[in-house]
This record gives sequence, structure tokens and C-alpha cells, in this order.
Amino acid sequence: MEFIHGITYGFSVALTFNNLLACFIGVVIGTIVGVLPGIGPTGAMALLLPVTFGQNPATALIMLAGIYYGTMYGGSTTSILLNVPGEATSVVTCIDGYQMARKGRGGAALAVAAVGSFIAGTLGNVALMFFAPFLADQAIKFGPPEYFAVMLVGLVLLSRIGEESVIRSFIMVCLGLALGTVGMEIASGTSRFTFDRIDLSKGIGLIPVAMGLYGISEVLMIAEQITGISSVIKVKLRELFPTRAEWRRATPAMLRGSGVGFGVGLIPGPATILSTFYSYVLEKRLSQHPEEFGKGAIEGVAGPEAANNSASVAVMVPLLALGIPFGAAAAVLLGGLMIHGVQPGPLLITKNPDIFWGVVASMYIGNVMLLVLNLPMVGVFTSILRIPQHFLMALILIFCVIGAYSVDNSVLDVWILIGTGIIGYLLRKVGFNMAPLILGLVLGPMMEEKFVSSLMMTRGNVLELLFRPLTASIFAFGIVMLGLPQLIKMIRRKGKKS
Amino acid sequence: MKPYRLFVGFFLFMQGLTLGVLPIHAQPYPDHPIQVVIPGAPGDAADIACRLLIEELGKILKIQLVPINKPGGGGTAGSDFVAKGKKDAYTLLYGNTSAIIYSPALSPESAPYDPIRDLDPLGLHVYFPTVVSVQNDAPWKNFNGMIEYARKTPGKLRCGTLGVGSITYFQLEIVKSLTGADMNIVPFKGAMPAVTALLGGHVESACVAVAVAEPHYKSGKLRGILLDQKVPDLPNIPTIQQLGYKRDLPSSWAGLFAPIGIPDEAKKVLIPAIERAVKNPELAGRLQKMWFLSNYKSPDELKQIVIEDYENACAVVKKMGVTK
Repeated sequence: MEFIHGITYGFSVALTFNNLLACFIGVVIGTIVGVLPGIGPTGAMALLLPVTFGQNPATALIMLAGIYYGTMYGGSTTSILLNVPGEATSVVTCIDGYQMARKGRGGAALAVAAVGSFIAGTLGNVALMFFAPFLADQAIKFGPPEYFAVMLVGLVLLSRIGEESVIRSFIMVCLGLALGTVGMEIASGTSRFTFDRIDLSKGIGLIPVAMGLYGISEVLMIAEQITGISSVIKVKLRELFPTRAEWRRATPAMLRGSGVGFGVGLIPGPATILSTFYSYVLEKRLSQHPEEFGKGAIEGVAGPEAANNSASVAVMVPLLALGIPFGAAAAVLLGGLMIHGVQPGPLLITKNPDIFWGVVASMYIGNVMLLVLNLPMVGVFTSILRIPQHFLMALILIFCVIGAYSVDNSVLDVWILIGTGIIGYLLRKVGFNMAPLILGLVLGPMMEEKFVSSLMMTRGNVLELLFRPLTASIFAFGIVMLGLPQLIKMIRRKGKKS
Repeated sequence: MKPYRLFVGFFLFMQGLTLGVLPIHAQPYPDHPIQVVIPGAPGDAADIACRLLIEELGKILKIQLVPINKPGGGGTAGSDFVAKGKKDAYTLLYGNTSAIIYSPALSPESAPYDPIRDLDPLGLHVYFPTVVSVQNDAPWKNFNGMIEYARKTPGKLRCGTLGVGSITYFQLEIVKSLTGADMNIVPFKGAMPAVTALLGGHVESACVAVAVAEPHYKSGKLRGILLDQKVPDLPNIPTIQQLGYKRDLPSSWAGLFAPIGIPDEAKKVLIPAIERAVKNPELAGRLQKMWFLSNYKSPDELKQIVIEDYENACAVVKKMGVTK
């Protein structure tokens, strides 16, 4: 039973004082980074790379990984309490989490997010432990056409998130796709919509847009309502934790979220963000109370928060098993490994078992640390809501501006933040939902990149793309999922008749 | 009123003290941290090489060097920021070939700076060797074999690169023109997707940095068949000149630059310090393990390299009709 050998070895590595300390520092920094809007796990890991220089590779990776999954815990805090997504992965949590906070259930939402993250992180880690090499081998069977298919199907299935009207979601998705076209195009190097400004050539960043659409627009909406010095929301201690009924609803959502998140996390690209979207839509479809979604359904917090944690573990699968990073954060982790003289690649597990098993073991430990850290902090965090609204809004503005600048050291991002904030405010007044726009912005550029690569692979032959077995099955799956609700309705109607 | 007067008096006294410190005895350069702009994202090859270099450089200059990532536009965002920025020698650029040569050559309108006239080279640091790889069980034993196949089946041999504007794209275009083989160049966003596609068999070959491809050689999944420059630990893989072709492929490098017009006394301090840092054997050894070849070139040599590379790149661009 080599797994037993491996994991006991891993714990022996992870439980040394140095590595425990590294894990602790990593997860604490990760949580803080997650709470702070703007700077994300990639930036934080890059900043802290020099700190790891004196350490041995296992310790360095333990700390860096801790930062990464730690941010998935922290990101939900500001999303729930202030409607400001701390990370791009917490955008979906804003939808129901913030509504729960307004109803006084903010503490419950935070607790559910923390526990869900813990369960997902641990379960994901188990899957990583057992299936890493196998999963990685399956992952590379996906070529650009398959990724394109997955994203296209995702775009169609997920665009109805949170919104009843198909036309409205469609408009928002298209707006997101349009925003995504700004920047340098991959195949020909043409700059689109950059108005000859260099800083636009990298495109419109997701984080400033997310913070603007959700956070700044919320500030503007509240500013509308404040007439004088507003009253303070009092939060009772008893209300901080979820009721038994809430746990009963949240737990299955957490488990489903873990599964969905891990699956989506294995796909390259913005896996963690997409996993939250998939989980939210799944929960809404399966829920007994679908009308509650968007107004404070606890499953809408539990599922996505679990999903982003297990997705972050899934991202480690191709990284550790094949040496291939599927996203920006994984690329920094890879860079960290290389700086320490470790050869990432398929031989990592066998040649550096201390790194693989040590990191796996430390992820179990890290998740426990995060749970212990975050749960008691729920009370502290909710007391943020006790700050009078006019102060709070000013603080949010400051944090968002600093956060937007910190992403790429670019003043343009701050202008984007403000611009999308105003646009978001106007759109919300008219009743549009922001989530499909974010989806379009996230998926658009990647879809186009994969599509272009695919077409160049087949020299323009689109049919050849569609008839690849894996691609065809993905599209078939998408069509089935699209038609499923109608099919179920028809079957039910038939059932009622007889 | 007394405490108020005391306060004002104290304040004026402190002002008087600080005035004395000003230009009368200027601090020797450098006296506060130096910003080094990396025109790429964290985790990129240039990012890693730069961070390691400035750690060493910081020890020599006894001051902190702070890396700042400014990705965008194939390196043009960061480069323009430095070229147009303050000329006080506290903002430097770790320029790689994409930022200095290839992006300006390919899309001049996206690079409003002149790589030769606006940037002052301070010293070359590393070369990033690139390699063309195929799957280990591919039918072609070497580069010539693959080119034969490509000549016989125009357009069917697919080679993944890092996207238009990257050096791998230029290298493949030159290979195409030298060998007359019609390869299908497939752009990917980054080295990793290209290698992933090769591993999964979605393309027949890929041209990426050695650092990215080599781990798969060890594991037996991939094989390297062409290098753009000699690499000490890979003696079995030929370069194109070794195979008898006239030209060599352009190489990817990175070095430190400053905007034109920084004070001479700063240059007198920086240039020797950079030379020492690049030649440091321990640093060079660490970089070599990652397949980054340290190779110091003086500012004048670097200037020559920039001019030559830029001319060649513009020529390729014109010939290929790649500019729009």
C-alpha cells in the first residue's frame, strides 16, 4: 500500500517545526490577501518568492501553496459582508452571500463558507493523493479543440446564472465578451480597441472589473440611500452561526461543490472562477427553493465556496504530476520550484517524494489551520458591519482603489474600476445582473485563443475539429444539458396526465 | 498660546535641520531602493531570472532592488514605462528580446519607444535557449528527418509556438525559409499550452524554451531535435548551423537597461556591479540548472546585439509580410 507509505512519509516531512511554521505563515498571508480586494494569490506568491530563497524546496512550496488555497478562504469575507469580491473567485459568493448578510445571516454565511472550504480542500486533497498521475494523464488528452468546446458549452450553460430573463443575460454576456476583445490578439499580434495606449494592450483586467461592478456599484447604490448618519446594524452572537436547518441545506451543497470544483479545476484556464459558476448553477437547478437564489440562499454560498477550494487543489494535480501549470498561479508555483533547483515534470513524484507527499500532507494540516483561524474570526469580521455606513463606504472605496492598482501597478486599472463601477450602478438600477458579464469577460479571451489555436491546427477545417471524439462528446453533453429542463418538464407532464 | 508656540518653534527647527542635508553633500548613488521593471508576468522566465539577478545585485550595491511586474503588449508596457520615466537611475528595465526587439519590430504602433535610441544598455545577463521537440516515439529520428516529412506533406507538420511576436515564432519562420519546408505554425498563449498540446499529440512538434521542454526529455516522453544555440548539458542536440545551414537562429536574451540620459556617476556604479553579479559563479550555476545560460556582455556589445537583432527582425517581418 504505497499510499500509506507515501502519506506517512509526507506527514513526517510536514510536521517538522520549519514546515509547520511555513504552512502557518502561508495560510495566514493567503487569508489576508484573500480578504484584501485586488492583489490575488498570483501577486502574493510572486512577492513572497524571495522570502523562500533560503529554505529548502519542500518548505518553500508548502508556504506558497498555503498562500494559494488560503486566498480561497479569505476571499469570501468581503464578498459576503460588503459585496466586494476579494478575489475573482469570490464574485459568485457576492450574489447570495451579501443578501444573507443584509438579512442578518452574515455570520452564518461566513461560517458555511469556511466549513465548506475545509471540506472541499480536504476531499480534493484526498483525490490528489490517490489519483494525481491518472488524472494528469487524462488532462493532457484535452487539446485546444476540447478546451474550446468545454468553454463554449460552459458559456451557454452558465450564462443564465442568477437571471430569469434570457435576453438580459445574453446582453450581459455579449458585453463581457466584447470587453474581453480589448487587447493584443494572439494569432496576428493586432491590437484591438487599444486606442494606441500601451496599457490597454494587455486587455481589460478581470479583477478591477469585478470590483467595480460589484463593490463600487454597491457603494454608489448605498450612497443614494444615505440621507444622514445611518444607524448601525447590531449583530447578536447567537445569530453568528448557522441554524440546524441551514446546516442541513448547506452540507449537501458543500459536497456537491467539492466534486464540481475538483472536476472543473482540472481544466486549464480560469478554473477556480469557473468552478464557482458551475457550482452555483448546479445548486440552483437542484434546489427545492430555487426562487431563493439571488436573495440569500445558503446553498449559493456553500457550493461555490467549496468549489473554489477543491478547484485550487485540482490545479495542483497537473502541476505536481506532469509539471504543467494550468493557470497563472500554478505558473508561479512552478517558477518557485525551478528557482529551488527542482525539476518539475512527470518524475517529480518519484524523484522528489518529499515535495509531493510533504505538500499533500501540509495541505491537510493547512486546511485545519484555516478552519481554526477562520471560524472564530467570523465574529470579528461581522463586527465590520457595525461601522457606520458612510465610513464603511469610504473605506471600501479606498481599498478597492488600492486593490485595483496593486494588480499590475497600472493606473489604468483604477480608471477601469471607477468606470465599471458607474456602469454597474446604472445597469443595476435598470435591473441587470452582473454575473453573466463577468463570465463573458473570463471565458471570451480564452475561448478565442483556443479556437484560433485549434483552427490553425487544422488549417481552417472546422468540421475536422467538431468530429474529434472528445470534442464531439463535450458538445453532445452541452446539448443534452441545455435540453434537459425541457425534457424533464415534458416527462413530468406526461406523468401527471396518467 | 505657549504650547502652540513651542510646537511651531520645534517644527521650524526641524525644517532647518533638513535643509542642511540637501544638495550640499549629495549621497553617493545609490542611496535608496532601485525599482527594476519586469515587462512580463510573475513566473515567466524573464521574471525568475531577473529576481535572482537583482537579489545578487542588491548584495553588491548594498541597497534593495525592488522588482515590479508590468506585463502587457508583449513587453511593451513595461519598456515604455521605463523609457519615458524618470532618468534618475532609480528605475531600470530588465528587458528581454520580446520587449526590446520583437514586439517593436512586429507592431511598431504598440511600442512608442525606440529600442535603440530611448534605451541605454547596461549589460546582458542571460540567454534563454529554445529547442524544437517532438514526441519520443515520433517516426523522425532527427531534425533532418522531420524536415523531409514536412517537405513531402506541406502544411501537415504542426509546430506549436508562443504566439506571434514571440521569438519562437520568428525562429520557426526562419527555419521555414532556410529549409523550404511548409510547416504549420500553431500559436499558443505561452510555453506551457504548447508543450501540453505536444504531450497530448495535438501537434507534432513544439518550439519552446529548453527549461519548459527538458523535464519531459528526462521522463522519456519527448525528444529534442534542434537548439537555437549550443547548450552545455545537451550535447546531442544540434544547432541549425551545425546541420549545415548558413544562418543561425536568433536567440532570446535578457539584460538590464536604463532610459537614455541617466547620470554618468550612476552608470559608473551600475555597470561594474552588474558585471560582477552576472559573472557570479553561484548565481550562474543556479540559473544554468534552469537552462538559463548566463553570458555577460558589456554595454557596448549589448548595444551592437540590439542593433543587429532589431535589423534582422525587421527584415524577417518585411520578408514574411507579417506586419499589417
